[in-house]
Amino acid sequence: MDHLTTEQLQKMLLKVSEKIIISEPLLTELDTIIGDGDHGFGMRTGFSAVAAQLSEKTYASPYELFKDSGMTLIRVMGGTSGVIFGTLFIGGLSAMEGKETLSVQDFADYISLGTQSIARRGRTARGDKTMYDALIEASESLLASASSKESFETAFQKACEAAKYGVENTKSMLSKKGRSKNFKDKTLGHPDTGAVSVSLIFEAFHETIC
Amino acid sequence: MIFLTDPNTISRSCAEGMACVYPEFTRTVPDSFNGRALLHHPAESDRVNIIVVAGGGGNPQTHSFVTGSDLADIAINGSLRAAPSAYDIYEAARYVHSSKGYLMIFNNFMGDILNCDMAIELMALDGLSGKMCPFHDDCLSVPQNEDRKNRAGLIGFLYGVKAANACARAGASLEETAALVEHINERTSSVLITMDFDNKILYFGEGISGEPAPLSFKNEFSIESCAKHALDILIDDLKPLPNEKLHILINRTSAGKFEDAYSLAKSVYDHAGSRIPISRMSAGHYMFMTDSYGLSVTALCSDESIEPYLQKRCFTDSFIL
Repeated sequence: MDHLTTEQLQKMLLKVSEKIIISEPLLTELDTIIGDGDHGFGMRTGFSAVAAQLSEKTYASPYELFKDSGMTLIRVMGGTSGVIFGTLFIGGLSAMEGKETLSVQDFADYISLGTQSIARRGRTARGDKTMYDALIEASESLLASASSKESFETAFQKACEAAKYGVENTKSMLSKKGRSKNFKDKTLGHPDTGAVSVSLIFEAFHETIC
Repeated sequence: MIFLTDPNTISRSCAEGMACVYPEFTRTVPDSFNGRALLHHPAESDRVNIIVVAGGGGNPQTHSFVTGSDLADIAINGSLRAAPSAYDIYEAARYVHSSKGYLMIFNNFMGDILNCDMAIELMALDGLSGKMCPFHDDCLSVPQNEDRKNRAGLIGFLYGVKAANACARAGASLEETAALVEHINERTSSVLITMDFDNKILYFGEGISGEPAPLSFKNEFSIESCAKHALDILIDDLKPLPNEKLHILINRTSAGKFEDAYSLAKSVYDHAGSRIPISRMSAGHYMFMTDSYGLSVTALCSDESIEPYLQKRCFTDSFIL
């Protein structure tokens, strides 16, 4: 598969929402250890609203679909996660403007621009033990797949593995951002919860396409 | 934090309840998406407006800041454990439509910073200007050698809100008001004291999300010890200048007792008296902070540029500042 239609992308986002919603207990458990325990609740709240919207509406373009979903996350969630995951959805919208379907290159550009927006807004970088550590791995993997003219199936499989690799890396990092930085050494050995959410998102992308 | 109210809607129901009880002072934003903002009524959109943003920590009580006419113009709470969304802030600002802009004051937590940052971008699309001032007064929240801008906020922002309102009422611009509040931010420190009554231990600096306290004292379980150690910590941190006077704020946590707050105020007054002049003290239940039994002490070193803006007592339904 080398292009995705708006309808396919909508199914993909619905799958993402369902995966995040059922993963709330896992995300809450992880965030309780090295954070304030609100990540799972916030993500479930935000993606429940997205799921409800996706079940009712149809969209004319990928741009409208991702913009609407991102704005819903920002409106509904609040907290760090609302802005960051909302930015992931809307930060790269310029890569979709005027397009009826998306190629692997378009999608890789979209994720890459969103990743850059998150780095700028959150003033974060690789190694800070944040969701960015998983996202940057997935984003770079997608860009590499686009350069190699790989299919969506292969690109999402590799991006999913790259995100999981990023999650594993966060276990050996000390938190430098957010509430979890106050837990200092206690964060060692535990993955960043936001990074786990990113990994779930790419897992859902892969499962929808394959 | 434990509440009987549904945690999913607690901010909305609290704001709506306050607007219902105090219609002469307060309003909510009509047709609001999340309904989390409480506005001071009547709105004064011809001067800089002060927005208090409070996320996490479960402090819907923050809404009460708007019920007095000399504090925040808009108070926006998040859900029980998360900052309000950028959209909540933008929606309230758009409704009030202040021609002089908005100063957002909040504790230095990532969620609040990010949402205010995005709200400023959204507001700019409507021609509204905004600035933010994240308070970082929790002096034991990071090691002493670390930049104070990395500290969390506790309750020092109340002084920022009070002075900002007075400054805005005097006709100051957004930039002037923000500069005053930033100066107050740099000269304010707070410490939270929590108590283990079973083992007679005083803890200094426990975080509001349960982060361990960096200091504890085992055999000095008294109000006097709380006052002495708190003042030592705060004065060592702020190093008051000869032209400065102290403003002291005692807050009791959700479990802290009225009597202990005022006893601590008296003891702080006695200990400080010989070291630095006190301009004004306040004591009460301003914020829950934690379910633990506790009291916080905040010190502001006020100079001639700050002092005129802190003289008037502010009355709300919950407290006097």
